[in-house]
Amino acid sequence: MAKKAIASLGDGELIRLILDAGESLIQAVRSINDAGYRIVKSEQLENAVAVIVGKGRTAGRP
Amino acid sequence: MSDKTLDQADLGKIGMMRQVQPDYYVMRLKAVGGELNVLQLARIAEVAEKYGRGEVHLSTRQGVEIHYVHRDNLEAARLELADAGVEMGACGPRVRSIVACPGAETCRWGVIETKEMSRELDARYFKQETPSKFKIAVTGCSSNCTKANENDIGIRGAVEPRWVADSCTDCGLCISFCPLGSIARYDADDRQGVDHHYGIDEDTCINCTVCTSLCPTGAWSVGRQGYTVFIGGTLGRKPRFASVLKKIVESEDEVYELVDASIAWYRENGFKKERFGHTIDRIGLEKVKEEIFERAAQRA
Repeated sequence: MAKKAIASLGDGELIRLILDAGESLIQAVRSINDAGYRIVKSEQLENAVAVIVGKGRTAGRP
Repeated sequence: MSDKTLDQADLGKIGMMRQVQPDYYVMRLKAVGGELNVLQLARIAEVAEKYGRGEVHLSTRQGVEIHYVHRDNLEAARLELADAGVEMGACGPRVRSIVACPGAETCRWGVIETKEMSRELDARYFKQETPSKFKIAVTGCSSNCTKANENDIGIRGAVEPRWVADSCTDCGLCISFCPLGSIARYDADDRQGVDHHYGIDEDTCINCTVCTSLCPTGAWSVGRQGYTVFIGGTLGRKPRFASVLKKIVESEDEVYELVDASIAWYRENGFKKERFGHTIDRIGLEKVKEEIFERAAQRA
């Protein structure tokens, strides 16, 4: 579901994802980076991490 | 010729072990870094069919074993294997076959060229006599696929992260994905003229590549890169997790100096059948490290 949501992002658009902490987070971040998306912000939750993901190298920049 | 007239210790030196069944032996074959080419594999299959029972056993240390070889056929089997470049492994109190993961050659996460190093370690140390069995493993990164920490000497690819203020967007992700929780954020740092900075606890950092490979902006970059050398790991009846000898060894030459010094120290100080790690515990880790470093410095 997360992959579909990310795939629909337009340039400069952002989406907030909740990712499981631990090894899952590492794998998820690798996948996001490998797919060419950019994590612009993160927030530690209980046993999870919320990340703001954008498309392209300038996502999230003013 | 009966089993009694064959010198079991001598056979162990060339990787042949007596089985439970009288007159039958296991032939332990060497695959340095876990590699065998198709010609070698084909010959192993032929020999297993001809002299064994048509099957092989794959060992936990990347070795291949042919079981059920009659003692009268050991030499013939060995020669046929040697003809195709298949060497015998080792048993008993000596340096065993070197194990290695694929490393940087083919693995996306590999930090070091493990295969080349495993061949060099094999050329330098294989079958050297030691007080007890001695195992060396090379692993490309912190995923530790060849379990460096379970070996008498473990060599693991390592990077030392360096924070680049100009590239940091303060997203905080590194704090979440660091597997050891070694990264922390600090407020205003007048030294760098920024309103925040990120630092690493060097005591808990295991020099893996998670921060340097995953930071979205490259703010965690690779500072020094090289090898972490571990000593004294062992399993068996009294398991012991290896200790860090040196966290970042930048040159391959220094790795060999440390391995030389470690093996030489163990030969002089280990009791017969005492594993390297247990010798370290008996004498004390800090003293052992000091003596190994002194010895390595003299040899350099």
